[in-house]
Amino acid sequence: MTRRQPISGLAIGTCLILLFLFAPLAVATLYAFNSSSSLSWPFAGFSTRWFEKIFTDQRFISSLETSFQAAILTAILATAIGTFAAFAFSRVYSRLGSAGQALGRLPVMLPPVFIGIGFIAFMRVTSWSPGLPTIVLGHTVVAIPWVILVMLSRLRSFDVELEFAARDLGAGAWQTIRRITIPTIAPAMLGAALLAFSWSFDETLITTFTAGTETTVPLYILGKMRRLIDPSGNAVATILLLIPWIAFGLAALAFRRSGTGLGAVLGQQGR
Amino acid sequence: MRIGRRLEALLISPLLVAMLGFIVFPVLVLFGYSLFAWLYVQPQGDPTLNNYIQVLTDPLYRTIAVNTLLIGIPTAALSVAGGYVLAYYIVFGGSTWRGIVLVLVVTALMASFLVRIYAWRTLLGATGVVNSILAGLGLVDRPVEFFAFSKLAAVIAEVSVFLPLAALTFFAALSGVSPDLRGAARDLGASRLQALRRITIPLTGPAILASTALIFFLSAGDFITPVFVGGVESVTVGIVIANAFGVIGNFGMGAALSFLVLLAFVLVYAGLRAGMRAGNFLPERTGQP
Repeated sequence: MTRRQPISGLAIGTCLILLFLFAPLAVATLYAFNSSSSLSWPFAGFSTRWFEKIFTDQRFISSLETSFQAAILTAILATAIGTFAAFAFSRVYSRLGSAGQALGRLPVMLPPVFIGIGFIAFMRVTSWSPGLPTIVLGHTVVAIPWVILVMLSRLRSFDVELEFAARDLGAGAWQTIRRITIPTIAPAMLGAALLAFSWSFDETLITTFTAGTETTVPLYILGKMRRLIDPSGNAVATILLLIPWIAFGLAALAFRRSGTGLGAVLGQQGR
Repeated sequence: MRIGRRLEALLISPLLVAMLGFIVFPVLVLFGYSLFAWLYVQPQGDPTLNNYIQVLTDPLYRTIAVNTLLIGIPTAALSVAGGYVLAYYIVFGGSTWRGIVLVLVVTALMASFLVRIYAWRTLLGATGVVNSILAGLGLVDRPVEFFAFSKLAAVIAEVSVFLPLAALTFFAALSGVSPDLRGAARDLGASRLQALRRITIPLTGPAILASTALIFFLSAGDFITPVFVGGVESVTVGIVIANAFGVIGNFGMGAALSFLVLLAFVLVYAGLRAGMRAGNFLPERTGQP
């Protein structure tokens, strides 16, 4: 089918743009395996020594632990808050609901630097010192809009008749939620949680304000970028590329099970 | 299942607490900060508008505003144009590759922000791949400095960050454009380009407007790309704000600058909207949310 079509300018443009997006990532990943310590062409030879080097670096290991902790806590918190809100938005149209929806979109419309300095102000007023809890709160705030987006799209396609049927058959409200609603939306919730996880794992701009003395993986790379870069930075970058991608790939699988077209849903965010 | 008012309030309240507590309340505090002179990370004296006046009159801030525009405008324009091409291909491309391109766009969106910056930085650096290939081919005899640490490099890196975001927005917008409308325009004798200019682009005008403004805004606030890829000539307003709340500790100035950027964003949005309306790039009689 593709053969019969003439290659159009549109297709060439698409290829070039995709090359522009992915080639730098491919080169950066390739150089994580370079046997020499330079990042120049030609590629010296294949080696895993830089991965061995970073996995013996205690600072990197602890940054990896912090990132995992923050991402897991963010996933739980953002999924809970976002799902509750999306549930209310999908069932009731009220002034409170529309105010909530408008507020829930704020974090994606503000540059992260504003949210970051907001946290500085918040911590100063409340005398709260920066650390893991503030990292998690910062990530949660930006992850919530994405959770609401996917959960709302799932809940709107949800057949409410199922709940009525359960109630007619004598199930209580709580029983209906537990036996009908939650099992139906569970795959989408898992997907939303994984999306929040991958968002949190990579978050850099807000984290620079909320981390205090903690270091996450992005902050670790940022530290490396301030000095002379060697392929160990590329090794960390490869890991930082892969972990959110894996979480996101799992999220995509969960969304496929729940029948939510992820591309279309994510696309609505910018509007 | 119907939910009552009290249950609704209960379900929404965690969201309200999070947004009011960590976005709205801090904005009010920051506004308070912006009205004071700061010394040693402490507000001093009586409320004053001096921070705002200084930002608007000091030539230093004019340079910063110019840098922000010189990076932000090309970044927004190129991201939107490139994103539109990708989305157009996914929606109207008509081949089996459409699905794969959509997956690649989503994958690019989810690729780590920092890794993309890191990749450009190592690629464009003085001893990086681009320079060493050029040197190897004998095209240059010493590293080309302007690849890294220039506004151009900052624009390239930022476009790679924001283009997938624009592409997905346009994917959603273009999916709502009926191909019949384009078909009708073609039947009535419009060329391919005319159909694009007169039908497709105006129908997706609100998405174009929103994406352009948002990407410009995000670019202005980015304080990592301009530092690590753009170098000393790329001091943008995002960097100055971040430093005011970091090493410098002049919260008042940083907050005043933030509110002026917010105001500038509203003006840019309104100007862009008026311009697009005048050029018939927006659908008529639309209640833009």
